[in-house]
Amino acid sequence: MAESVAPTRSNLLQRRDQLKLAGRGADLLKRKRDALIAEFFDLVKVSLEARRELQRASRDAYFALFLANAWDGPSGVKSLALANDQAVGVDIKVENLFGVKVPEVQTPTFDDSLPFSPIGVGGRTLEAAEEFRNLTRAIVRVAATETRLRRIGEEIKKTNRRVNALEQLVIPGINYQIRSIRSVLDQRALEEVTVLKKIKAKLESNEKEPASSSA
Amino acid sequence: MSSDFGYVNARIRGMSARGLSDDVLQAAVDSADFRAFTDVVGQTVYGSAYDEAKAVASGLQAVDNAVSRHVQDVTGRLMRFSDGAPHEVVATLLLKNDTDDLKSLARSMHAGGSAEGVREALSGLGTIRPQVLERLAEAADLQAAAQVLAIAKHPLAASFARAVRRYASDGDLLRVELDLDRALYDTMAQRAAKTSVGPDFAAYVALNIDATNVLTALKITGKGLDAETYFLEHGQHVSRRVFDAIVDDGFAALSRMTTGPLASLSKVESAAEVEGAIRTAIRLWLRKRAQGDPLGVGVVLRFLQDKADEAAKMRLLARGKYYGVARERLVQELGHDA
Repeated sequence: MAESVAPTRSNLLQRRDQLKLAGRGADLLKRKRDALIAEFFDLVKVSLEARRELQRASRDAYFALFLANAWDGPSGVKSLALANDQAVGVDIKVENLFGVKVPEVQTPTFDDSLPFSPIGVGGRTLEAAEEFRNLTRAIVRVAATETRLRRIGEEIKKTNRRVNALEQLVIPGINYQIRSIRSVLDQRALEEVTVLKKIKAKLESNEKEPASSSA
Repeated sequence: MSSDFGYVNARIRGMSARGLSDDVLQAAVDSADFRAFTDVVGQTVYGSAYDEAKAVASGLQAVDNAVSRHVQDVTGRLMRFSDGAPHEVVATLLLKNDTDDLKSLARSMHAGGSAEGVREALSGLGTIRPQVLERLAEAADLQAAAQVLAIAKHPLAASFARAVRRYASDGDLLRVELDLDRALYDTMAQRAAKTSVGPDFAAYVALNIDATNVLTALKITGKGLDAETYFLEHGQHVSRRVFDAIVDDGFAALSRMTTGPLASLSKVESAAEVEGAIRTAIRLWLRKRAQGDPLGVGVVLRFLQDKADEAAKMRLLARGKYYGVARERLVQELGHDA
């Protein structure tokens, strides 16, 4: 429900300005929403590809681990895992996309140096380690694209709500206020005209009365 | 040739006869699922170890424990019923497993792991007795572990103590491992040269060093590492020049290996096949030695190599059936090693 405003000409002008501003805002928000939707659909393709890559990397990594445990023995695999306590660092930058802060996650890089002696170490275990590095990269890629996707999706919803609020609530409200102010002002103008007409008629009858009494 | 091997080889033939035959392996490959696979395992020489393992673990863990226990039993028996030169040969070969356990110990302690974590990483497939392994796992640090090993009079105790002393000053785990690896292969080569079992054992040790050098060179290819640090002496067919060529050119350099027992590597078509090809080459070499001299060291060497391969195949099949891997894929994997 629109708030009641004093039916003054200045308020009418103010409301007209507000209406123009709200219209322009809605238009801008719609354009932002369309751009975000385009970005969203581009990202969906990337995200689906990242998911497929994750599935592939996951299958390869677990199969490589399967072979490493078989050929090199579970104790050999566990032992090498103990030697490599390398943490994975992920660089994240914040990118501004149409006013939306989205993370830009860099694919992690791994230290290529050998923390253990390669002499006599099972090659299958080293292959499995490499496959798991690929899996880590794939997980980070999926996390990065899906986080961007979620942020953009949330922003599209938010923008849509704003557009709807402007188009269905704010603009009709201002229009209503403009109409009611204009109606009051028109009525006042009409009343004024009527009053002036009555005064004029009264003045004219007053002018006629002395003339007839003196005759 | 040493006549000491007559009795040992006869016992080994008896043990080999009770090992997994091709029919049993085929039945394991053909088993419909993991349960059917364990039924097959229950009928084999692994059966009693599997029954024991089932009491404390289930699924793959039980099979892994059974395989490990069986290999431990076999090598333990071999050590008990052999003496003289055969005992020396088996003990020398098992030093590789001891080195792996010592490296696991060093890695675990370097990472600040608990005694439980250390225990899990130890295979116990070498010559170090279980009581000593337990004391090693409970040692407060690597220096204490070195003392435990010295008290047990282990052949690698002095080298381990030296590596640990250096580690105390620089904290470089890689150096400890490299020192242990060098000590292992130096000890093996020296023992092989000294034993009275004939040239086959020394040739086998040299062949293993050659194979290790080839695999190491492939692992460090393109990493910009100093090749000299990783090259092992005492090989026969893989010289430093060949090693450097593999480090520089990777897999492609294997085409130059046209002579010696590892000549088949020149025909390998992908890097993934190299390990399997090396195992096959060593197996063929051992088969010739074992068949050529039934009273020689070749029978012992072949038996230990076959047992290690058999254990790997059991673990592979167990996993294949547990995860429902396609039969063709399993056959392909087993075929890599054929």
